[in-house]
Amino acid sequence: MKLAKTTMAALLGVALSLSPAMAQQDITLKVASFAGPFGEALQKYAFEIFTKRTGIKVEVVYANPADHLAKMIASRGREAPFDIVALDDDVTALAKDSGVLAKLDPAIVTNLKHLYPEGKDKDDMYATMFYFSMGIAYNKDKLKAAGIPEPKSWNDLWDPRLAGHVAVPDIINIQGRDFVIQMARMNGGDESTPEKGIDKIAEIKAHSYYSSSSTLQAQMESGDVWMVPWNNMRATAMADRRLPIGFVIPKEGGIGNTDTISLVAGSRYPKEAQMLINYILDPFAQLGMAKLLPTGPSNMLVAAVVRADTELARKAPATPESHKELYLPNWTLFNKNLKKATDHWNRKIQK
Amino acid sequence: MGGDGKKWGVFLLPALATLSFVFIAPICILIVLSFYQMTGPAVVGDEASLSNYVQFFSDPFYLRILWNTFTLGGLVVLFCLIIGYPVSYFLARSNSRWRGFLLFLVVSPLLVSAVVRNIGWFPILSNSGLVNWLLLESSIISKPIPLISNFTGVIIGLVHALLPFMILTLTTVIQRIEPELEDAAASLGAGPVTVFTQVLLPLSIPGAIGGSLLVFTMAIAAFTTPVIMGGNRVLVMATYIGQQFRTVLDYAIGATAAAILLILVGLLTVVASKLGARKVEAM
Repeated sequence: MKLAKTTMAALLGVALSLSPAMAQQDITLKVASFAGPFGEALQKYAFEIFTKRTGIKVEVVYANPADHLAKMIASRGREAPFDIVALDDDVTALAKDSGVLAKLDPAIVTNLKHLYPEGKDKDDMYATMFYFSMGIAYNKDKLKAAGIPEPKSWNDLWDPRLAGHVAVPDIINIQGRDFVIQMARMNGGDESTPEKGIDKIAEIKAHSYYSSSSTLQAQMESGDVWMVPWNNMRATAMADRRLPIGFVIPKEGGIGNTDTISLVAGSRYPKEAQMLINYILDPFAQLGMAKLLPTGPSNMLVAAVVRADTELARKAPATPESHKELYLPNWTLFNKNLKKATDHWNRKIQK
Repeated sequence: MGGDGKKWGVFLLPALATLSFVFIAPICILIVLSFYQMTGPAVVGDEASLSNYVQFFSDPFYLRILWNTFTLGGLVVLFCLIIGYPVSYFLARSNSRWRGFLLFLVVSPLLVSAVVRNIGWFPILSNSGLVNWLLLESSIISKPIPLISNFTGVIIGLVHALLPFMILTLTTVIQRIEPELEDAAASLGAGPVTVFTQVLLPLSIPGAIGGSLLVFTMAIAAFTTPVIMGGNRVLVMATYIGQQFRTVLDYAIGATAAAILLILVGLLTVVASKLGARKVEAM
């Protein structure tokens, strides 16, 4: 009898402890993300392990940030098209202002308190996942053959010897917007006067205007493109494949970008979604993404590890000091002028 | 026959309902949006007016996009006709055992996705690509000619993608022209050129109009090819609409451009089909 009671109690205990896990197994979180190396890093270092630990499945929807935003806006006030969204910082600001994001709960997203202060939103509507930088990538062999020195300044992109060999980022993507802002700043303007930057950019004898990193990568490899304003991630990844690609933060300063992760307003599973967001901000996933992409982690808990990693420090803005060397654009201000900027770009550059 | 038609018409209802839901309703919403003004990202105000249309037709910038689009469509049609006609004639008249293989080659561009098809042109057309390498090696040119990431690239990409539609349409029409007509003309002393210009060409005009219309409408609506092959340098209606909807989130002006494109294509279709019918009647 006693044995029976003990067994019953044990079984009940097992049943109780299992039930949350059992319930969670039916949950599938939808995450809207970028495709490419970033998507792979999230899958490998966050989603797969999260599913193993919690039983919660993760389904990924790949597209560009702007498309994710358009979808969220279109379904505003109804059930969200996905629970979590990963965005570049320019689109994050627009998403926040459009009211499609939901506030993160610091009691669930416990890693929020460990983020670098510059990576935190005052309203907790998003969390920074990592930092990356925009500088100039170049083909060392082609420059050498043409007798052109390796770039040190943004102004080197206007070198007449580079005519037809510079790829310019299109204003459709974040690198294009970074470039417009940087050139506006160097020509007496700021985020509210994008036309000052665009007028200057229009003087570049461009090879093409890129919107996809994979197309650009092919053009860099083939040697068609010699110099391009690009981010550290793709450029250093090419250098790691022993291609003759260099990357430099110009002396006038680079631009700092972040990728963020947010809970989407109207998510069916806000608690579980925030558990996953917290997991993405955890040291393990942070280091995984930092090494694979490479990026600067946003979680201060890994600062000591990152500081000891000289290779990472060389490839990505991984320390608070390196964040300070970069200009973090005021995206709210730029987005107010996005329509004007795109219009001016169309008229000046797309003919 | 009429009774049969009614009986079977019931089976059309699901298709009609689906079409009106996923096709007609969104187009109506789009047209309605075009009468309002953008007041914020993806938001329009509540005052309806024709001002977007006035702005579109009074600003040379928009007229240039329209001009670019129609020039592109026209050139693509022209090249498809020139390249496609001889192939269609061969396919229609030949009994060669290679006919099946050639037909497969003709439709093969349709079997690959637009992105892959376009990226495939890079190693061939880029500055360090095959074509420029051959021209440079044979000293025909002294520096590479830009064949991609510009208007030329978009034309090449679209001709490649749309040629099958032209060839298949023309082949069907040429097949219906009796070969005896050509023989008869020849036996009356007409040379090959006369046979072509006086007999074959006039009879195949309905096919040429049909194929051209198909190719033209697909060319001016194309989005992926102008983006990839144009290196974001070529602004046509489709890329402009995409940009306004997807990144600027100005639904009002995007919808206006879309409505204008839709109406112009509709008008063109009506005119071209009338023209085709008149040619057939005249014969």
